[in-house]
Formats: sequence, C-alpha cells, structure tokens
Amino acid sequence: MRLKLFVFPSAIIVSIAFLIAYVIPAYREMKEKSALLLEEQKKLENINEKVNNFSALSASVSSNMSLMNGVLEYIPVSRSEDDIVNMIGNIVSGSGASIVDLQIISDSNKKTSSGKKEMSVENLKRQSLNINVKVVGSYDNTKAVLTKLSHLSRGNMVQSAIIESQTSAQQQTPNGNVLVLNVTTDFLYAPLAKIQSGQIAKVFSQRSLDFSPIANRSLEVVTPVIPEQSGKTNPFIP
Amino acid sequence: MDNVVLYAVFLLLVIFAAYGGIMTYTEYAYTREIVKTKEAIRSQESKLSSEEANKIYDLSLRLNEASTIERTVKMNEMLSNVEPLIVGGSWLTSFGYDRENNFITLKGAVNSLDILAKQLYNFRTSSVLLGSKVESLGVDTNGKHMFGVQIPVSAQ
Repeated sequence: MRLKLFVFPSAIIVSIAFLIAYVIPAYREMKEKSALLLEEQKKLENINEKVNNFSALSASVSSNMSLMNGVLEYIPVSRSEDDIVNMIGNIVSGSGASIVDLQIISDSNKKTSSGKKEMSVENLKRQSLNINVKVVGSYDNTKAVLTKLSHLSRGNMVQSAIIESQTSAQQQTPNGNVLVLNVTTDFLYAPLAKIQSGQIAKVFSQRSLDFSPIANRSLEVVTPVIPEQSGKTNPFIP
Repeated sequence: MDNVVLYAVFLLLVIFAAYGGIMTYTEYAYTREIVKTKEAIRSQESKLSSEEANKIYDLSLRLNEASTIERTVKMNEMLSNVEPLIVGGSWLTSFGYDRENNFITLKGAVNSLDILAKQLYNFRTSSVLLGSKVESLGVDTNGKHMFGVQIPVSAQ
C-alpha cells in the first residue's frame, strides 16, 4: 500500500525527467530539421530556376551559332598573331596608308576583365598582345586606319595613339598632308573559362545573353589568311 | 488506489508515445526529405557545371569583355569631334591619346594671336570635348604661335 503511494509521484518525476532529457530536445531537433528542410527546398527551387535558365540559354546559343563564333573570333582563346598581322595589313592597305613599322611590344596577363569587377570571382583570364603600328599617309588615310581598327572583328583596345605632321628638310613648316600615325593597341585573347567547383555562375540567373556588343557591330571585312603551299630545299634562300 | 497506478502508467505511456511520435515524424517528414532534397540539389548542380554550362559561362564572360571594349574611346570619333573646332589659320601638328591618363593632347600652330584666341575659345566652349585645358603656349622660330591643349576623355 505504501509502495502504491509512491508510484504516482515517482511516475510524475520520471515523466518530467524524460520530458526534459528526451522529449524537449527531440522536439527542438524536429523544429531545426523543419527549418533546414525549408531552407534546402528553397535552395532546390532556386537551382531549378537556374537549370531552367540554363536550358533557355543553351537553346539561345544553339540558335545563334554564328554570333557565338563571332564572339570567339572577337576574343579568341589564343594569340593568333597571324590573324592580327593579316588584319593590320588589310586595314592599312585598304586605307591607302603605308606601313612603316609593326612590333609586338609585350604580352601581358591581366587578371580581370575590368577594374569594376576585380572583387568578383567570375572573370575572364584576359590576356593581351600589345602591338605597335606605325603608318604614313594623308589625314584621311590615317583616320581610315583608326576607323577600321575600331571596327575589327578582333577585339582591341587602343592604349595610345599619336598623329603627327612631318617636317621635311626643304620646308620649315610641317606638312599636314603627310602624317605619321603611331598607334599602340591591345589585342585581347583569353583561355576558355571554367566554372569553379561548387560555384553557380551568375549567368544562370538570366534567360538570355546580350549579344549586342557583337551583333550590333559593323565589322570591318578582312580577307582571311590564305595558306600557301610551303616547302623549300634551302630555307635560307629568300 | 489502483487508479493511481493506472494514471501513473498512462502518464508514462503518453510521454513515451510523444517521444516516439516526435522521433518517427522527424525521421520520415524531415530527415529523409532533407536527404532527398540534398540529392536533388546535387543532381541539378551537376547540370550547372556540365561542359555545355561551361561553354555558356565562357561565352557570357567574353560578351562582358566585348561590351567593355565597345565602351572604350574610338580614336576616329575623337578626330571627328576635333575637326569642326579648328578655325581658319590654325592647324594641328600633333594629336595624341593616352588611355592610361585618359586624355587627348592637341598641339597646333596659328598665324596670329587673334586666331589663337579664337582657337582656344572654340576648345573651351565646345559642347563635345569638355574640360579642355591649355597646357602650353609659345612662339616658334618662324614666328608661328604654338599651342598645346589637353582634353579629358570620359569613356573607359
């Protein structure tokens, strides 16, 4: 009888102890997992949206192959010096000017695509081939060279340019009809960019790509390099 | 008194049942769902790092770069902007652009001081080439008045 008197209070004590030791932590864990699930579901929703955008982008790229090739021509993956030489030769002769000098100044590696984006991880590993071109011609000729240079199908950024009139030995005043243009420009190229593991690229937040920098350009038509049959028994003979 | 024992047992059973219920519900409703959702995320993420995804990523970066190049100063346009500002009796001897400092430098000569004044006025009041600054003035051995003007360039 005495034992029975202790049963109920003991049961209450055991219940409270069990509640504190197991039930309440289990309930808290349930709440935490519920919040975690909600978070993961949001993440999944977000990724699903990005995958949908990726499908739309993929379809857009497939239907714009010529533009895509144009982009790769504008900023190629390699230096392609032959293209640069060919392009410069084409624009100088097409402008009626004469080339005096053509030099590679430097090949620089630039980490970022623009100053503004230095904080971002998403950058093209832009490299540039710094070329110096010196041409002689009339004002119209030199202006045409600069116009054609800005419309080249290969992306380049003029770093410096100077047009000066020439002073001949006979004349004391400069001759404004014969000008020397000395232009230094960076021809850009960049290896293929890869998404870092675990990173979701920003581009997948949009459903289309803006091709306008390439599509809206009136490109300078340059005759491509025509390969010639090669082979000489003595390669030192001109 | 038997009822007291029954209540005690019932109380313990309720507590144990609540614990069991919470544990089972957590397992089925949350733990397993979290695992499934994480797997689904991983699977979707792998699509966003596929070869095709890399191609689009690379293309987007190249397009950004192309857009930056498009915004750079076009020398031919700068020349076109300068042309209408040159007055009769004045001529340029040098036109220079330096991207690092982002300005164009014009050097020229004029026949007389009044033409020089008109020329400098044209640069100063130009609505296209803003902020011009006269850097140098002088007279050469032939008596021609020389000038040097610097004009900041707003584009990248």
